[in-house]
Amino acid sequence: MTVLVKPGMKVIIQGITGKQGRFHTKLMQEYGMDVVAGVTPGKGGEIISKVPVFNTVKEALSHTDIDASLVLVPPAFVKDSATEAIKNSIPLVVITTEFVPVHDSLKISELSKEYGVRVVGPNTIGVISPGIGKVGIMPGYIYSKGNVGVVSRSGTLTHEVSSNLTYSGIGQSTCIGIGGDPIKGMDFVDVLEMFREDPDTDVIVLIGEIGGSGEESAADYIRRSGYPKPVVAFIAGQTAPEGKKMGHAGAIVSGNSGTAQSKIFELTEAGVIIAESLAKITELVSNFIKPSAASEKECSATAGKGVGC
Amino acid sequence: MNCFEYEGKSIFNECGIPVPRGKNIKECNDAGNVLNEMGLPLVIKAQVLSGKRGKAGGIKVVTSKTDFDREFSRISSMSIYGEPVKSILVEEALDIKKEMYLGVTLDPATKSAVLLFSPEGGMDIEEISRLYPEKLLKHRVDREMELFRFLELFSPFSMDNSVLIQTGKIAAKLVNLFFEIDATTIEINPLVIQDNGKLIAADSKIVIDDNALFRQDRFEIQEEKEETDHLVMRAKRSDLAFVPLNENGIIGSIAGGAGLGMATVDAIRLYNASPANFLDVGGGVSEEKMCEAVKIVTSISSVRGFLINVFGGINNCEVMANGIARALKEQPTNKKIVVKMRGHSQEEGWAILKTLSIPVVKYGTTEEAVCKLLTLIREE
Repeated sequence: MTVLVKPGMKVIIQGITGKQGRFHTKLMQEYGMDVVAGVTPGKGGEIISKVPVFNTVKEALSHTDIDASLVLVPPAFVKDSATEAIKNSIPLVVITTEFVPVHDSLKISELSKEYGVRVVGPNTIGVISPGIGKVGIMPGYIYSKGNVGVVSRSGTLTHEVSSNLTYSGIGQSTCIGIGGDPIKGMDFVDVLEMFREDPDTDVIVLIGEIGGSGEESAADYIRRSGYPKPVVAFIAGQTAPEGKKMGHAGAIVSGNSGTAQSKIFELTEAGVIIAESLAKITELVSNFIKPSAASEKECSATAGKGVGC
Repeated sequence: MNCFEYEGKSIFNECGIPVPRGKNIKECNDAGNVLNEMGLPLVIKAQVLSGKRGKAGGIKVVTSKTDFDREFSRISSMSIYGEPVKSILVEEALDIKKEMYLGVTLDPATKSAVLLFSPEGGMDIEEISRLYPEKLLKHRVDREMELFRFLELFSPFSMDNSVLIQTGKIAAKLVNLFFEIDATTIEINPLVIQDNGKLIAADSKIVIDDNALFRQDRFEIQEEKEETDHLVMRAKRSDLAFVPLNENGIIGSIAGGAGLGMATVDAIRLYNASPANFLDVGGGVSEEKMCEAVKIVTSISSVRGFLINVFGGINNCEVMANGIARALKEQPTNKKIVVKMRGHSQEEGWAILKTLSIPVVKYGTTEEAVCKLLTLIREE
């Protein structure tokens, strides 16, 4: 069993005719994904990387089953595209787009509940189950198959942590970027629930950052549910100055709310193991990986690691 | 984007939320006319985006012409928490019986818009929730909520009938406005009950979602604060998220992604080195954008070396490497550079960096890259 990504799943790309759409269709195919259709209003009938393009999701559905949609459209069109996918009951909708108006995300999140659709993002790299498949824009080869579940608000920190694990011979079951925006689809708790039920996930790495209260909610869930699997957490922005927006809309510390200290405190209270640096994550995770299991993992990285200090 | 008080009040006025009579003055010469038109007493309010301007002396009630002239010129020349006063709102003074709080904001935890109300107002919401937690109403709201639902929410606060109806109507209008203008926060604080029993919005705070400005053309995009730092200005023009951190910081950084950017700064501090800046190039980076990012960091005089920490995900390693190469050609530097780069088109990116003799961390962690940079600087 895997989380969200299934073997042989059929994926569509909304916004397939754009620059990102074309590029990532190719990369999805290279990773072995079955891209069954693309959707761009007004471009129906075109073919991109051997994939037929339709004007609407409904039209695509009349030709094929669809398990997931990867949304790669500009911010102003996200609400329309995501709504279309949700109202056509595509089970998984991954929105990669950054700078989506927050009221649109609010609407998308409400709709997804109504239709029972899983939405990941916006502002995310998506989801990958290494060796099985991905619905996202991550470079597949820095991820490797194994038993660590990774969940993060930050896309590039997901790359960083997962690739560090990969180069140390530790693979991942599923890695999910939930997105850097304050209002989003799946949050930490939703993903933790999935990892809990997933027999392929033995350890979870939770990567948070300053701002918002998602990490605190995760801590609360872990404590209340008596979470059965070890969780290692890292919080980015521990040295960020107060009142300065650090790139992400959500990443700002104001007063006592959203500080790294509050998140680390709550997580520690819930029994989560805190990694004080990125490199420490790998070390802490390796304590929970059976040596036999670790050596079985395929690891493509053969080159040496960076230099010591 | 934050709106000034006068802008917020003009929006309130348009949608039928009562506001005091007043005039926003940008030219000092107009002050005399306003005094004649409006009569005394008046309130003089500095228009700045910083909070707590009252405490800083930016708000004054005046009862005589002499006071008016003196306070007007004093406040006009003020700078409040580093923000120069560019205009002044002159308003009728209110007879205040009671101050309440009313606001609408987004609650990420419940993924919804929430109405906030307290019969105690005039202080900021953090203070209200600390001092009067039992009196703070926090309730989920949706588009097109009927008046009776607001009345149901407010009726436990035992207000008299007239105040209850007025508060309900204002709240209904405020919630509609919140959705209509893509706001992330709207506050009326204080919402004043006057001696005559009429409610009035004595202040306004409106924050509009920057990502929605493309469809909210009524708002002029304004600089949040006068940027004195020319590198910050320069970064802004190129759409780079740049935050100077430490005037004497010796280690610069450029990262792809805010989370990685923050973690890079954290890693620099972990080794007791002082970070000079945070810089997130964001997604969809072009050669030009990366080139500009490198030029900005090489322009920080205290920086002795910097780390470029990026991934080819939504970005492309070859494009980014070309940007680095171009920056170093156009603006050569003797600062030490380490690049940590992997992902889409990594082989091409690494090859370009190799021709420039820039050390590349291909498989190591961010901490290892920081170490490598610190070692290079120490060897100097």
